[in-house]
Amino acid sequence: MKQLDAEILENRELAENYFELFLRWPEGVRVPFPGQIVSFRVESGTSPFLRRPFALASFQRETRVASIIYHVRGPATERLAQKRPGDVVDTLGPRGFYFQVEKEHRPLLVGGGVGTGPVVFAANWLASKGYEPHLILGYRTAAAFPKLELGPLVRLTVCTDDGTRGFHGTTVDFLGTLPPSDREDAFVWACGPNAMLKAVHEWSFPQGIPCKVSLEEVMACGVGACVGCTVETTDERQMVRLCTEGPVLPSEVIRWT
Amino acid sequence: MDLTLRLRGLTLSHPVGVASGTFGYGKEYEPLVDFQRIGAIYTKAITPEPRVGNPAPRLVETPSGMLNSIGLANVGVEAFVSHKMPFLRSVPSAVIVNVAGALDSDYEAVVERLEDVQGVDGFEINVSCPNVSHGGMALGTDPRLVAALTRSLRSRTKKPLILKLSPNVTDIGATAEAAEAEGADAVSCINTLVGMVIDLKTRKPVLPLGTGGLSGPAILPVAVAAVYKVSRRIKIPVIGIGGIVKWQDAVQHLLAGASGVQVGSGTFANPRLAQEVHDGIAAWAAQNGVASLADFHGG
Repeated sequence: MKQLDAEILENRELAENYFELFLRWPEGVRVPFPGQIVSFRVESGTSPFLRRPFALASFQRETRVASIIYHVRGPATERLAQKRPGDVVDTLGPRGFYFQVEKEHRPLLVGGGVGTGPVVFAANWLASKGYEPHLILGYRTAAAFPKLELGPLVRLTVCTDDGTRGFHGTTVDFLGTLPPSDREDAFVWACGPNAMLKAVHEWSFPQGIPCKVSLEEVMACGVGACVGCTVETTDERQMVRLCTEGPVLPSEVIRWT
Repeated sequence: MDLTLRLRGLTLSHPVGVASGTFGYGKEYEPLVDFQRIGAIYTKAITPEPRVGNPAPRLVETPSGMLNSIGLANVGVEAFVSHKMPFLRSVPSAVIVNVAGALDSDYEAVVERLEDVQGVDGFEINVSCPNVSHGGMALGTDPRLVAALTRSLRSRTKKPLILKLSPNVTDIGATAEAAEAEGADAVSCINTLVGMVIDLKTRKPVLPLGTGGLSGPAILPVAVAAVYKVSRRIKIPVIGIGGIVKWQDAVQHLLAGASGVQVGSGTFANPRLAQEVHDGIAAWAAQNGVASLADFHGG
């Protein structure tokens, strides 16, 4: 993890209120992996006061360009959406445990809403390693579905709550329709709202399909010092910090509420 | 120019520390800061036994600040000695252990355990945490209880003893006087203010315990006023904390009567805040003919 002034290369609107911000990733800063986060100090003043964590959505080794996908939903992301190429943003990262490959070979990657970024990163990364990931993304409606750049080996299924695009229903409804052949030798990586992650866990766990999820909580320091971004676990740790022991965790260690 | 701060036998080469609860056990910030320019690390509050802390969510941002309800989550004194002190011993900053508990005997146990531990340079007694149901703030709002605890701890340590004051009182000077009378070497002024944020959707407080501790630039004027009041009531040094996000804020604390400062949640936004404040104070003092910390407030 380093603190750096990252130059913004592009800030592209992908869908209604969804943007992808591309950054130059300086030499000497560790290559990030899917699931890892960065935190931005969006304003140097006092409002918004805290840094904001974001999961990375891509990293190009050749050009050293990284990106995040974010949803404009408050003062910090409103200001982020106003950033232009050439602006710099105070960045801390990369940080946290990432998605690591499993012994199984059939990736089911499930994302929804703001959870799109890390699973898209994971899909493209797995495809570059020769996997054939099935990327299952869920949105409220077709207009919320972002334009994405996906590798040729990535199989995409879009789910919408209102049926305006792709599968009519949630990502978990879709998982329920997968034939046994698609569940064999499968593992799940997921990121999105907690209710979705819990449902994904409840689908995968009884079938013995390993499932890792990337969680979100409000963070203050983003480096493990403030102990603010905790989630409860079922193991002896009882609580873990998402910025340090997460944000990616096996779904069975989380005390789902 | 001499910006050293002397507390009992301890000499801090310069007056800027990092506040308890905002800097973990020091190592968390290792990749990002220059410890040469951090005078003192006030550790995460240490209790006799490990504490898991409060349920999530523990944080909520507020206008120019934040509320926290961490609940004194910490590794406990034994793990602190075995797992956290080796790193803390390795950095040039002084190590002041923040001590917390529910009962006087908890504070006594932690101080006794750490009294002879190499690298522990002093104690900051947390009688002002708003996020626990026993001890903490309830203790710190009654000058008689503060006096009794200070007396007890004074008899147990030869190291600098600093009482961290609660702003959630009618007369903060009375608590400071109680600490001074029983042998405290300094007071830290102030801990967080009690605050609440309510979610319009659920119609309930965002934090599970209802209230949390308010920190950040929003509390700077409250902290400066508290330092001003307290420093006129006692002769021992006042260490100003609250709302510092730039060096000018720290100079306000010093001009109000503080002999040292701690930067707190400002570090979350800017990990290099303490060292920037250190550099800013030194430059301001040089430009303004201020030769020592006492010269800031004619003391």
